[in-house]
Amino acid sequence: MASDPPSRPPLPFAEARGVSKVFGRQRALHQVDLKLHPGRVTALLGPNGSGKTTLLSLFSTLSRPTSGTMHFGELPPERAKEARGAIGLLSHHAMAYGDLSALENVTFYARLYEVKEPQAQAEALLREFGLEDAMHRAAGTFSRGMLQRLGLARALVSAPSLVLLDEPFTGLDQRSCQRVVEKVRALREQGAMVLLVSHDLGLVADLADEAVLLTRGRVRHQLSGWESGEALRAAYAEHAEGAAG
Amino acid sequence: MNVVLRQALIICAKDLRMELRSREVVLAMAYFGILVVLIFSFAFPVFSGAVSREQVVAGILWISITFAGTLGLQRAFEREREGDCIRALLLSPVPRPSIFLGKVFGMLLFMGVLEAVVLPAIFLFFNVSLPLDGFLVLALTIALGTVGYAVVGTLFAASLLRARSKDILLTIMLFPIILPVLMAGVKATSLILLPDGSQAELWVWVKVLATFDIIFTIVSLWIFEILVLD
Amino acid sequence: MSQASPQVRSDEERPLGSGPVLSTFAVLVGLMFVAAAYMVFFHAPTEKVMGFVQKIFYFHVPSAWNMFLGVGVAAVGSVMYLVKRTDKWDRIGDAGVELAVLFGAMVLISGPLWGRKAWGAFWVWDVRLTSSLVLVLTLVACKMVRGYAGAEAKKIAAGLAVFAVINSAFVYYSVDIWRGTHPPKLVATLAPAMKQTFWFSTLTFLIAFFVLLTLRLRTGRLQSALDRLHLRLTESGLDD
Repeated sequence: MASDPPSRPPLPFAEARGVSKVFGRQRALHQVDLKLHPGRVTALLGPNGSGKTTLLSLFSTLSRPTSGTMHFGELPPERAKEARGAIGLLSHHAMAYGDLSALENVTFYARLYEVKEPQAQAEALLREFGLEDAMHRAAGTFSRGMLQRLGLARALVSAPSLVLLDEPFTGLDQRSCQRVVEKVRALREQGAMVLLVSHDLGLVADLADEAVLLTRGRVRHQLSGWESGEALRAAYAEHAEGAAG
Repeated sequence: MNVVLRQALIICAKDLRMELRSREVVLAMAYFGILVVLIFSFAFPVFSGAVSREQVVAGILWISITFAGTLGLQRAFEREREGDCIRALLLSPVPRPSIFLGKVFGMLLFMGVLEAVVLPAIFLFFNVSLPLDGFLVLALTIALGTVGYAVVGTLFAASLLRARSKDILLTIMLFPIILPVLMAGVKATSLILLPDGSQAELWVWVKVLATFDIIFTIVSLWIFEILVLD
Repeated sequence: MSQASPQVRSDEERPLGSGPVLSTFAVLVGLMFVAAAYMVFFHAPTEKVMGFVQKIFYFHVPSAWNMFLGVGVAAVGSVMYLVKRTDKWDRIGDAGVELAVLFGAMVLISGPLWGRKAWGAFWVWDVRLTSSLVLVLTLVACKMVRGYAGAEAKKIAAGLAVFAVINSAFVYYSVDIWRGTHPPKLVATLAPAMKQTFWFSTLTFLIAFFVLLTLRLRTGRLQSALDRLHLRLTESGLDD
């Protein structure tokens, strides 16, 4: 086990209710409803610029919807920021300080979350992602794939109950991919809510319990219980391409 | 036409077109120029009669703190921006005042090192000597000025983290706001250095610095979260 | 897209109106400026010490008061925007900043013209002019932030405006202890014709301020209405 059960009470659910997000003259999200449940992996699919990352950042509490509300368990929407301790985010950026070693980076965040035995937890997670040999190297010297894994270790060191993963497989080799897949499965077993953005339909079909298809900021289609990767692929093709045309 | 020249003109025309569209460079440069005139006027107050050697020394000290400080601010926040670390910081359940004060403390340390280097250099180059009590008052003055500068500078640099043109905007925002610090710092320092400087006036300026610190720390703590959050 | 976007706030949906009252006031204030200029040159007597240059005073002082009014509007708008985060307050803050810069510029032009005669130099680091200059420069920085900073410009500009207002008090106090040269507050000692001219001019400036403020707020409202229309247009054009 890489991490203790979270010290904070886990969130019973996280939900977007009718959220829209407007940037100037651009509408990134339009009336989106999405509820995440513990022990379920929800995949967010959609072409580039469809609002996936914007929705993810709303779930991270770092951005507020232009209209609609975000609910984190029973917290009233204006107190959403109190859910922060329970959220782990992997974004496009590694969120690692280049001048610090991988271990120092993860330990630093573990301390901010007041994790017990921060350094031991950080080490365990870095091992889990196959970074044991690079642990003491400056993050600035890491390759794209290593940074991605470091980012995952950082996001998960606080044992979050809401895990937001923005394209976690990008830049990873086969073996690392497999590690991440296993980790996501383990998180689901532990009862975490996972929101996963990915373009890899094969991995999504394998991992996710349900999939939400966004196009141009709207929920186009919701899928669950697909039989195979092919079925998901076909559904994606129909709705995503159809909307683009 | 010569190929080198022709291609150079194409590139220059591109620059010109971009500038005409945003008018960022020329306006910002002109504005910065005015600010520098203002800053030097207050550092070397020719307008209040003949400027003594002590006033020039004080002006040089505070100008070097002001300009070197912006370098430090830019670098300290560039680190948070690289790899988007600031988002991870903000996502953590850490109270916002801790993040702000943490960055301010860091700036104070960096600026303390800067001052520890600049001050002896100035004493050496300008052959200044100070009795111990004078030196302690000078240290207090510099410390108070540095706190005000670091607080306001940290707030502005943090608010500009995700903005475009952040480097030029930082100086444009910061310099007019820290003018009172510069004025009070220069005046207090020259009164300390002058053999017959008025003690009563000196303490008025020290009080100005302390008031600036208190008021702007409170305002900055209030504004920090609003400015840094979405 | 047949239905209107439901998430538009009612405040923003208010009809903008053509404002016959506003037009009336705009015409009125134009006429009042002509009358004020007439009074300045033909009604008010020429002052003994300063001579003709003293007439700047009838425009300089009302400009300065309007600048403070603009700063007040900017401060209230900015603080409220930081608290409430609604576009309405942002527009009010921005309008205040612009009016303060406009009337501040008039102060900074008319002040030195007076100073040339009174002190023999255009600029003598007088406390009020100097603090006005710093204030105007900071507010110009607010406008530059708005122009250059990108997505978060509104917040940063509002924060800077708050700092600018507090800071001007520090600058005023600091320059004041440093030195002090400003004509004493003259209003109480003026000849009756001078007083009439001065107060008429002040009233004219005051009305001009509110006409400009209303106009600027309307422009702001129209701008965001246009943004919303543009948003709907792109959406209806691109959607099914």
